[in-house]
Parts: sequence; structure tokens; C-alpha cells
Amino acid sequence: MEQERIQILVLVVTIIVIVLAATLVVFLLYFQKKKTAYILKQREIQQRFDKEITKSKLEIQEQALQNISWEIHDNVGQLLSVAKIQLNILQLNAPQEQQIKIQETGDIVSKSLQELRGLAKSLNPDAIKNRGFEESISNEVDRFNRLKFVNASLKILGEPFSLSNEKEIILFRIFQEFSNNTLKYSKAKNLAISINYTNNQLEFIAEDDGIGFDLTDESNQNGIGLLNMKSRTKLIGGEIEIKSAKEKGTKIFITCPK
Amino acid sequence: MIYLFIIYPILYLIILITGIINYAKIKDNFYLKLFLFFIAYSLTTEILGFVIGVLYEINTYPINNGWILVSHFFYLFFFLSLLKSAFKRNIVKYGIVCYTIYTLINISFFSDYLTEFLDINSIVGGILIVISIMIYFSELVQSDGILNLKKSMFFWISLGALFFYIGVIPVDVIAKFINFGVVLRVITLLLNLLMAGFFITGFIVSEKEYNR
Repeated sequence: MEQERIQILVLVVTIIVIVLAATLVVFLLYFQKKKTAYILKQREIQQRFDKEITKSKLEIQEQALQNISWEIHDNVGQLLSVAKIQLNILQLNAPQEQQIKIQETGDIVSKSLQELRGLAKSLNPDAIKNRGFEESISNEVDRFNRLKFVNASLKILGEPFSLSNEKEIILFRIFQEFSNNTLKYSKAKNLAISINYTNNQLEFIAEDDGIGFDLTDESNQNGIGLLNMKSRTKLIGGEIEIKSAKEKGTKIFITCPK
Repeated sequence: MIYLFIIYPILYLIILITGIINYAKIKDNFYLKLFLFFIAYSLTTEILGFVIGVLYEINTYPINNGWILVSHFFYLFFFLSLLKSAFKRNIVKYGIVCYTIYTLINISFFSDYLTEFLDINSIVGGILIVISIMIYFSELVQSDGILNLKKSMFFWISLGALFFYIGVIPVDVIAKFINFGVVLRVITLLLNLLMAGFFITGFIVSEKEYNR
């Protein structure tokens, strides 16, 4: 009898101890839940903060580009216009043999003026807003071909629709970043661009046949250009894929939701 | 009554098989691999205990005492490996040193390893393991590891060991004074079932990247 009572006592003690341990574990799990929620919230705040920073960086950049564009258009542009008028006046009084040369110089000044205006427009965010994404791209393609930088082509597929101003400007800036790299470093002969309008998104593909670069190389991977492209795409809720290999050219593929 | 004893080898066999099936998940950590060996060793002990003790009714104290000592040292080193804070590691290290010295003295002069149950050893070792698990938990709540508790095999092993040892201490305390009756047998069986449940769940739900 005594033995049985002791055994029961042990059973009770064991149960109590187990319950205590279980309480501890439940507390641990509760703590885990709280901490997870807290950390997730922190991460969300951090992400929002990052997004805000990228956004304001872009705004500052756009503002700077707009100022440069105005400066080109109003200042340098005006000076060239005056030079052109002066040349015209000069041409009237010049002897016959010099008139042709002055005429040629005048043409060069006119062409410079035209190019500067084109450049000013491609820099000015307002101009992109007014003309729209597709036309802005097409203007850039024409400019590249005219200046014989590269043999550029543009292909448009699907039923066109317009995106919000913000998305169009950002997409255009990504394209500019890419084409700048193509012109400056890649030694490419051809640049093929295609815009594909699908039901719910826009697909933008740009591809050059230049020297390319090694994507696995850390210094390239985090190069400011690539990072910029990535963070900008993220900002408009799109996705970007960059493909490149040495001597195989470079390709970007961007999808942007409607 | 024989059926009660055959449950133990079967239980360990199930843990071992689950572990082998999920071996890919644990192969990146030395102590988790060691844990699998420890389970295999426990299975051998239970089979020997069953064959020698239950079927032939010969004294199995050396086998059982061996298991007690091996399991205590295994768990203590296992939880020591999980700790990062130098202070907390030192606590467990000193615990291991004291326990080793005590065991050596106890076996050399006081208890007979071959003919009696090492009860005080069992109690002290159990308490040390519970303390080291508590220390591990205290470090867990401060780290990011707590975010993925359920995907970590270490956590499931600590749960199994915690419930087993905390529950088995009262039984060990009383074991020498009374006959090992039905109630005590049922308690140990339930504790073993609980522990095996945690281990098996751990092997199934844990993920490789949290088992490094």
C-alpha cells in the first residue's frame, strides 16, 4: 500500500514537472511569434524607407537633368541661334567665294542646334511625359542612327497602351543607362530594341552585340549602373533580367506591370 | 509484461529509420550526425537489454549504466556545441568537468558499476542536462534562431531531451527506495514515447539550412 502511494506521488510530481516544462515551451513559442512579427514589421519599415530614398534620389536626378536640359535649350541654344543669325548677316555682305563656306558653317551650326534640342528633349522629363515612352525611345533610336553611333532598330509588338508618367520616365532612364553603356564601352555595332505590349504588362528588351562583360564578376555585379537599373525597376514594381557574357553582347529584359 | 519492454527497441528503430531517411537534412552538422550514431547505440542497448535482461533474465546493469553515462555526456557536449556566449559555455564546461570527476570517484569508490543502478549519477546528469537546455533556450530567445524554431532539428532534440530528463528525475529519485512498480514503468514508457515523438517530428519537419 505504502509503495503504491509513493508511486502515485512520483506520478503526480512527474506530471507537474512535465506541465511546467510544457509551459516553458509554450512561452518560448509565444515569444517566437511576437519576435517574428516584430522583425517582419522592422523589415517592412526598412523596405519602405529604402524605396523612399530611391524615389527621392530619382526626383533629385530628374530635377538636375531638367535643369541641364533647360540650360542647353535656353542658354547654349540661344547662343548658337545668335551665331546663326550673325552668320546669315555676314553671308549677305561676304564676297562670292566665301559665301559657300559661310553657308556650310551655318549648316553645321543649324545641325548642332538641332542635335542640342534633341538632347535637351531626351534629358527633360517633361518632354518624355509629353511625348510618351514609345516616341521618346524612337527619337533616341533615330538620334543614334543619325549620329552613326550604332545601328539601332526598334520593334513594337502588341496593342500599345500608355503607362503612368512615373513608370515611363523610369523605364526611359533605364534604357538611357543601358544605351550609354552600349555607346561608351561595348563597341557594339547593332542595338536592337523591342517593346512588347501584352495583356497586363509591358515587356522591354534591349540587346547589343558588343564586348559584353562577366556577370559573375563581383565588381560588375555591383557596378553602380546595374544597381541603379535594378533599384529603379523595383521601384515601378517591375522585374529586370540582365544577361551578358564576354564577347557575346549584353541583353536586358524588363517587365513592367500595366 | 514482455510486450512493454519490446516497445523500446521498436521506438528507437523507428527514430533511427526516420533519421536515415532524412539524413540529407542533417549531414552538414557533426553533432547531428553523432546524434544518429547515439540513437543507433541506444537501439543496440535496448536490444541487448531486452535479450539479456528480459529473455535470459541476466543482470543488465553494466549495459544500462553505460548508456546512462554515454547519453549524459552526449547531450552535455551536444548543447555545449550550440552555445555561443563564452560565459554560458563556461557554465556547461564546468558542469561537465564536475560531473566527470564525480562519476570517476563514485564508480571507483562508492557505487558498483556492474551490480547496481547509478542513481545519483542519473539524477545529477539529468539535472545538468536540463540546466544546459535552459541555458540553450535563454540564448535562443536572444538570437534570430528563434524565428525558425520549428525548422531546427536542434530545437526538437532539446525538446525531447528536456521532457525526458525533467520527467525522469523524480522516478530516479525514488527508484532505489521502492520496487520498480507498474506506475513507474508506465511513466518511463510515456516519457520515452514523448521523446521519440519529438525526435521523429524533428527529423520530418526540420530543414537542411537550419541544421548547420
